[in-house]
Amino acid sequence: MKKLTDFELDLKIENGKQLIFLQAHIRMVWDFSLTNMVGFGLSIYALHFQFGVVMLHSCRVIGVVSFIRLKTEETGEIKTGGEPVPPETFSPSLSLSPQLFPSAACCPHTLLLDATVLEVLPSPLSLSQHSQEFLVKEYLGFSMIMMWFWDEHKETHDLSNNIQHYDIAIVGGGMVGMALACSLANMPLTKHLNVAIIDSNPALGSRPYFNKEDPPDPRVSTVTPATISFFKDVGAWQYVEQHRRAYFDKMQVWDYTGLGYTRYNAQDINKEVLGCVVENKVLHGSLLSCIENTDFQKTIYPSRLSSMTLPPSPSSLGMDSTSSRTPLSSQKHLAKLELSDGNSLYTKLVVGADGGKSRVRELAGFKTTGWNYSQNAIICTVEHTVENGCAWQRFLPAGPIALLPMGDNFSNIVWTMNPKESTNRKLMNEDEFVKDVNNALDYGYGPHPTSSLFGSGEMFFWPRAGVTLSANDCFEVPPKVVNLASERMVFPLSLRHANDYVSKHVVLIGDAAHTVHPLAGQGVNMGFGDAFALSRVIAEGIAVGSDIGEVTLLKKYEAERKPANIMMMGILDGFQKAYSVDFGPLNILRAAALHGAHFISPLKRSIISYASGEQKLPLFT
Amino acid sequence: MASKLVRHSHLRALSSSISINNHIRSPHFSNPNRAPLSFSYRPFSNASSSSSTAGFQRASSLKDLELAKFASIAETWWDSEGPFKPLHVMNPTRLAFIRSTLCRHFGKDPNSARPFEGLKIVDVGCGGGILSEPLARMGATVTGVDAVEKNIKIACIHADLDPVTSTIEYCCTTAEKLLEEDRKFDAVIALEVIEHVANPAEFCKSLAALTVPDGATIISTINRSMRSYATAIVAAEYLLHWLPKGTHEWSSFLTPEELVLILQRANITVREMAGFVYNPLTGRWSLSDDISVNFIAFGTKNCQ
Ligand SMILES: Cc1cc2nc3c(=O)[nH]c(=O)nc-3n(C[C@H](O)[C@H](O)[C@H](O)COP(=O)(O)OP(=O)(O)OC[C@H]3O[C@@H](n4cnc5c(N)ncnc54)[C@H](O)[C@@H]3O)c2cc1C
Ligand SMILES: C[S@@+](CC[C@H](N)C(=O)[O-])C[C@H]1O[C@@H](n2cnc3c(N)ncnc32)[C@H](O)[C@@H]1O
Repeated sequence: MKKLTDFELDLKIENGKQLIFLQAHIRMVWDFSLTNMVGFGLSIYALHFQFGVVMLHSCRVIGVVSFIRLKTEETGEIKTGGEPVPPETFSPSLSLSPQLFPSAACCPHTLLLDATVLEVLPSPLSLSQHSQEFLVKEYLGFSMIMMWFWDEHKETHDLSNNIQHYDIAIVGGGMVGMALACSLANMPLTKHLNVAIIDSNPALGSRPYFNKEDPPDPRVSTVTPATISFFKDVGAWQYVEQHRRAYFDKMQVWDYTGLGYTRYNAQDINKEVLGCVVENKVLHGSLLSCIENTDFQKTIYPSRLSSMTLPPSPSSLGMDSTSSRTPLSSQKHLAKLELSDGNSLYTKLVVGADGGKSRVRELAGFKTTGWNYSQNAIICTVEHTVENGCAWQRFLPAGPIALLPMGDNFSNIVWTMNPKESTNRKLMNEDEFVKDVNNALDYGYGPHPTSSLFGSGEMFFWPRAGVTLSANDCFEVPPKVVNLASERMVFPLSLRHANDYVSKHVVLIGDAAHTVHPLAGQGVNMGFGDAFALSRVIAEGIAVGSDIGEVTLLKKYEAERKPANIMMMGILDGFQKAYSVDFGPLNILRAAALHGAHFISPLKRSIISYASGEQKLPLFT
Repeated sequence: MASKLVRHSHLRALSSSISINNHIRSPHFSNPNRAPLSFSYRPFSNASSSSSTAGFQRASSLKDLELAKFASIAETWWDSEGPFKPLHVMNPTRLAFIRSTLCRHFGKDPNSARPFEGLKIVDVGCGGGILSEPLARMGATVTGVDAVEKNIKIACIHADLDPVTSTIEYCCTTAEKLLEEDRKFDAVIALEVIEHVANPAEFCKSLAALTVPDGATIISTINRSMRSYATAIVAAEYLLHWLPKGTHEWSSFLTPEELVLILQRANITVREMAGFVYNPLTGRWSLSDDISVNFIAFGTKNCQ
């Protein structure tokens, strides 16, 4: 919460039945002339109490100001009223017409605001009145919601003193947004940047803490070797290593027709592991811890982006403007962001890392191409009696089911199906669900692939050269699931790709630029690839003194990432299509494709090494 | 024209074997609408008329027609898709050269975001400030000078958009005038200017005189080779329409050898040279050993 100036609080608290009634007097002293002010609002926020611990950054608006009385030293008292508005919406705004202050001489420099709160949350603590008073006084605050001025000239001048300027504003502090911040914090050419991170997710404000005894969260990511080395480069992998994660070096993919299966081994691509399954909150927390340990200047705004104003393009630089050099125009090349809590900020570059429903993408007017799959994914954590060391994926008539190792006898399930089935399976009792899962991973829908059909790949004349050991690996049945260890969460699936990733002052990364089917666990890996590429392009720009909002610079990022992402999306979408429809006789082709992938090592190597995050698809080289 | 003759005889002095094509003429100077010769530059405000050939003989480096060309397109300096597109596209590449040579020469940390902190640099023929602004972001104390007042105006307006670049000192003047003010700089940079001046040798002498002993001088220009004729003039001016026709006069280009020679005479030893090559597929320039079209030279001023 930014204070415009210091204010004094004088609180009176009455403990009613359930509510704390509060009256506050705030005296605000402005250090600049108010001649141009036309209105403002005020709201009261409180930090959330939980178990006697104050959760920082989870403050919420608990009441609004019922009326505001202005008192000026010069003109005496001017009284204006406010409208009661329910909490969580905007506070009343008071319009002061210019006529109130006919001349600068009588404009107020001191304002006395009398604020009365209409509604306060019931206290979660059964404490004495004294302790409650103490806590409320300690943790209540006021925030100015808006101020504006009718003189544009003045606006830029006065507000520039109060509105913060940043080099970069990252909208969305999810895994990808934090990966960008972390990468910027760790490169010599970018670590000096002044970065704002805008996200209302409370996890950003607290130190990550995970209990090792808890079963793993169902929201996990399969990170690729490329992502692991990115995390190592920025110094975040050491924090991941302190938590539960499961490396795997084997993967088995098969389908319900019993015609084909394929097994991948890390050694096929000369790697030690194929990937690692990590809970999203661990990845996110590790990036946060990594940033905390640098002296990176970041400011977290626990809010959401509501609007964005981009500066006009400088090619319209007119000669008519006077050439007198005033710093007033300096905001004109910055993007202005307005947040839902009333704060605003200026920045040279806005990074949209705000996920699949990106507000930045919408506000910047980027078009997207995509479709919904009319499929949902159920995700959950399950338990076995033994440890699972392999990633399993079986294609069923309605979509794939994946069983990913999570460590400590736990696995993660990502199961794609039609929306109706997903509702049923979310609601059915746990034992039945476990039975369904075991069925889906074993004999359900069709037989195990058999060795006699296994050789049929040859009739497609696949070259046999370069067959590796894993081709001879036998089909295996995944370990049985004995328990459901988390809630079942359901997500709709879609594919969406932004037609452009960049425009002047704006760039999209992660799901904001592309949302994919979670099939091969590529989603966040593509996002990490974006974050890494963007931070490198920014560093290259800084090395040669470029303006980091310049579109010619940002285009380099787009040129690097767009083809890679489109190719990955095409591969995943193709896979999804091939496996989500029951092609009847065409199943044989699908099986052949699996056989093909199983047999032709060079080709298979290409596919896995691409899926494991290596930059280019060697097929085309 | 008097100013042309000066240059003509000068080049002949450098290399008598070069046949000079003096007939490449800018078509747009015959068009009265395209040649607003109303520009003025403060030091010579009495000589602002287009026909005052005598006035220009005095000011050694100025060439009126060349300046008029720049004045006529000044408003488009910062349009990265406009007439100055090649400069915008080339900028990161030439700045990479400047960064590496100056960091090495002045012992600056190449990993710093502002490696030029503490260096005084003058950008001679700064135009709209395409080079001056990045130099300022890299920490240098920058002075930008250009003979065309309109350019300086544009440069000021644009630099003021960012507090970091608003520190740049822009003046409508020439290298010679700066000398009279007894100004000295750690590094003197004149990119894509020498091919537009009346007397390259005199111009180099002025640049040298502005440089502190053991300071650096960096010059880039277009080579006078058949390939440069083909790429720079035919491609840039006629085919790609990057530059208005007549922006360049091939005959006034210097070869790398000539540049090294005139810099040597001005007491500057060229220590590094690189070429720029354009890849039409990626649309990017990169540094290379091929100096047959565009090249950049880094020299240091000898301490007497
Ligand atoms: C069922 C399922 C399974 C998946 N499995 C995998 C997998 O195994 N492997 C894998 O790699 N990927 C997987 N993915 C994809 C992966 O989760 C996403 O690609 C990844 O989370 C994208 O990260 P992000 O940071 O771009 O976006 P998000 O994680 O969506 O983060 C966006 C952030 O922006 C914030 N935000 C949104 N709007 C605003 C606003 N207006 N103002 C401020 N902040 C805002 C949000 O609070 C959030 O913190 C899966 C996805 C699904 C649905
Ligand atoms: C091709 S532009 C180069 C601009 C800039 N140096 C760059 O590379 O981005 C040449 C500039 O040199 C200026 N110029 C030409 N002759 C000059 C002279 N004798 N003294 C100063 N400036 C001159 C022109 O006005 C023009 O702006």
